[in-house]
Amino acid sequence: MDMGEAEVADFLDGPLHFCRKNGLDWLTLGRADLERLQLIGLRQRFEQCRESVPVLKRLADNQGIREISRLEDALPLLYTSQTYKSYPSALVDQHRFDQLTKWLDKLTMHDLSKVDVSGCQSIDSWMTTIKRETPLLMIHTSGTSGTMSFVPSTKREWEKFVEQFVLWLFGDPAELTLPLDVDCIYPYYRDGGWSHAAANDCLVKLVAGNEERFHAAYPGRLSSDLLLMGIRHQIATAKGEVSTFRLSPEVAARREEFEAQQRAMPDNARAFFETLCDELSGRRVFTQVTTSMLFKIAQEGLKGGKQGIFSPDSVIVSGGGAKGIALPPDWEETVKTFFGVREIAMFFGMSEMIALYRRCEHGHYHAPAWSIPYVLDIESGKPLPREGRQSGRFACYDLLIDSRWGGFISGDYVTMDWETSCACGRTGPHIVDGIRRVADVQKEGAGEDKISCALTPDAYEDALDFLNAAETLGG
Amino acid sequence: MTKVYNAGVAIRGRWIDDNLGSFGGRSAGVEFRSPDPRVIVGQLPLSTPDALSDLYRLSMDEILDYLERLGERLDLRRNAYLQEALEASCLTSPLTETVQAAAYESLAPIFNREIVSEMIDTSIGLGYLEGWVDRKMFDGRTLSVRAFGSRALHIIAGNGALIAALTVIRNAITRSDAIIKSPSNDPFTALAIARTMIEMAPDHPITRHISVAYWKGGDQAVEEQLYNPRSLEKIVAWGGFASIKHVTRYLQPGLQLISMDPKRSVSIIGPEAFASEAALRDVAIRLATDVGAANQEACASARVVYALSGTDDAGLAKLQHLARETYRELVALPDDVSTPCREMDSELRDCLEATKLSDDWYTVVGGEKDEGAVIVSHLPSPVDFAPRLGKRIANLVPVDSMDEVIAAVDSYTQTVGIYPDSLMYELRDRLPLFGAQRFTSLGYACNPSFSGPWDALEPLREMCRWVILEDCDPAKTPPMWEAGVMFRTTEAA
Repeated sequence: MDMGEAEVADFLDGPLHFCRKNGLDWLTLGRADLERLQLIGLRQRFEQCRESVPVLKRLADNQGIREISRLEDALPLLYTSQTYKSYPSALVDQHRFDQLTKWLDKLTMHDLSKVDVSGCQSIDSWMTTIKRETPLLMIHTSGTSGTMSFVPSTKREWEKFVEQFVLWLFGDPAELTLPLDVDCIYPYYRDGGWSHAAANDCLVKLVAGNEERFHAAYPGRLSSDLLLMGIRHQIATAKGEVSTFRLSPEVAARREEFEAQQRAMPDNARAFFETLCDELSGRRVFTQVTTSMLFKIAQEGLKGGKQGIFSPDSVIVSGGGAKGIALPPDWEETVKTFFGVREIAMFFGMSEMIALYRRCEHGHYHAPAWSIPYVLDIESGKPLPREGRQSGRFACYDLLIDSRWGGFISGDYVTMDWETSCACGRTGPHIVDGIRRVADVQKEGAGEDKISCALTPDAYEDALDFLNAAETLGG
Repeated sequence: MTKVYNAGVAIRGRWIDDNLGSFGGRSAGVEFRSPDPRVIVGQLPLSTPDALSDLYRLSMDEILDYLERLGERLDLRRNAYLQEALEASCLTSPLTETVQAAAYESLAPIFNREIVSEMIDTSIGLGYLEGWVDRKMFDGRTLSVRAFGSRALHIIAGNGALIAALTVIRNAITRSDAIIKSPSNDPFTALAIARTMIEMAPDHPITRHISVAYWKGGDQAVEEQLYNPRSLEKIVAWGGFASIKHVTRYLQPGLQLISMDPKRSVSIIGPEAFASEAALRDVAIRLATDVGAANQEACASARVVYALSGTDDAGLAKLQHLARETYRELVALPDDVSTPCREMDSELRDCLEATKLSDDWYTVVGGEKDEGAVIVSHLPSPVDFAPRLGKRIANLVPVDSMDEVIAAVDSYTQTVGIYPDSLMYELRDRLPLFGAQRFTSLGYACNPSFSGPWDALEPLREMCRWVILEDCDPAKTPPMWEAGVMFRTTEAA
């Protein structure tokens, strides 16, 4: 079947809707057909964004790029991890949310100039105001450097994010009735500024069907201000600046309570999940949980003689690595046996992106039709050939993003197989082997004991890591 | 393609370069081979502490003679070892060839008799090194003090060739024994100096108290044998967070760490800089030098610059003018002082590009092709990636009042370059409380005196063991066995 510009736009606007109507074949097009389709999509996005996203316009003008005729033409225009945190952090500290909104306005097609944020006294109130007054559902990253990235995605984009789960994890999409009316277990805060929590509204809309079937461990919002305060405080401690580190009175007042809550959180979240295992036993559920928590619950549960907790067509999405514990090689079997599910769904994605790369049963992460992957040389930043197997920095253009420029260079090091068909039957580029941080790969290559009397960023990060580890042990 | 260099080890006057292998000394494009450190480590420590006694048969004059002769031989044009070391270090060091060559050229002069004598006088005092210094005390006794040498391991930094030379000089004048652990970013400079010493005077006590080797930092098989009070009394660590962390696990009574922590430096510019075009030009060349010298790889290099320009539009305009002039001087610096960097930090480049797009908040001058840049903050705070500034990228921050420049300083701050000089005297009693360790006239950040304290420490004094002798005559100093009173003056008795 041929796709013209209108069909492509339709496809990108709602892959779930499109595939429910036209079948799933669209997801497994041959490479040439797929790239032709992607190029049409990329051109459309560029033309839309060039006129309405000032940062992209500036970038394109600087690079002298007027049109896209090959997929590679977008490369000089990809955003970096710095783009969404290029505001001065003093604006956050001084609560100058009018100025922050002005900054954000240059990254989205939506007009934010009319939004009144003059009453905002916190990141939390700023984010909720933007959410209430505009189509945006902005998220922030964890801000481990002391600066949060603010990513102006839209509610519709987050809906597409959830649609990917529906499309892939709940059986033949053409047969489904929406909402699915499936219980969702979310052992964290119902709301918050993280990307994780941003999907919850849409999970209620498409999967749970109502708030009663969405089970969150904490009903409220995880405060972004307190999160950032915690990180800043750690950094100030490492720099010996605690004396000059000032907290706003309202944040200072909530600090102890927040820190106690954070310390209790892992245990509470687990206890909450275990209770729901009993309450929803035998039912079909959807949940997103960290791997380490899943494994701990499963291991304890099996010891207690329980297994096959949920209905086998339940969906468990996991990721986030195994923080704090070493997972045995058969961890997945343990988790599947205890919960009684057929697979643990895992994805590769990032806060700046909507499109997810899904892991297949062979451990490969497959590029979805709406994401154009690139692999860049980690030293030169130049693109590696789109053929054979290539290892380097992962970058992509995410065609699901329609309100801002969707090109992004990640900090992840991947090995991409462009040609071989995967044994799972899926065609197209897929990530093989593990995914690592580029910085870790570079550190390895550089030789460990280059010593400098100057305070390098690595030495600074090491100092922070050391301090964080010491605090964890102490706490 | 990887280029392979053969590095030997120098152990107490002997040069060993057989059974070479690769022991982790590898960086992008270069690999160096050396004898297996696990095999030679047993030969590194001094057999017994009293083996230092040969150094005490030398007078300081003889030590100065030796250093002067060594300096003459460390002439880059004639010394083949230095030439080879320079060639190899151009592959391992972040510095470019012309800047590195200039650093090698500056090795010989610091061995000059006058300079070394000044180092002795300012840091320790000749008397304490040559013998006992007596002092009559209030209670009648004579207290004599002498600075003895120690057995020390030096974990040196690789971002400046001078560090190796300075270590050799300090070791000689304190009559100490040094084992130098070379860093992988400069594995050859210390070796080349040691080899020159062996060639010049293989049996001289100073030569026989220098060893230089490379092992991979953290190699327990090597470090456990060496890092203990049987073999060493002191460990001198130059920077490198990981290298200092490696060492701390071995610390115990009898083994002391002298840590020169990794540092960074700032500049402070007073309103006088904007008083006239001539003053601004003067500041621009000075600032460009502090940013550009040694390609901004040094701990003393300027990175964030606070300027009392004011934060209103007029203030910003003045600061932008200074940024343009500083950039112009920066790219025009002679290539033995500064060049565009050898290898750009890609994350720093991303930060710079993102900053260019945020033109409401920042003005970026230059930074077109990794040649260096000057960023002007429009708000009175530095860029969020300030810890990453390098590769000749500086950040000018406007402030309205002197109180705000205190933010410039924290516990990682070493040098504060200041304009005009009078401002140094205004700030010198205040900023040290927040961490500052060195004040200098703007333009001299990377051109320090090697005689004084460093990193708020006195490395030369700390390398010594300070031994005292107390001569007490009961007729003058009241004895405890009689009065049972510890502190009583002669008069009172």
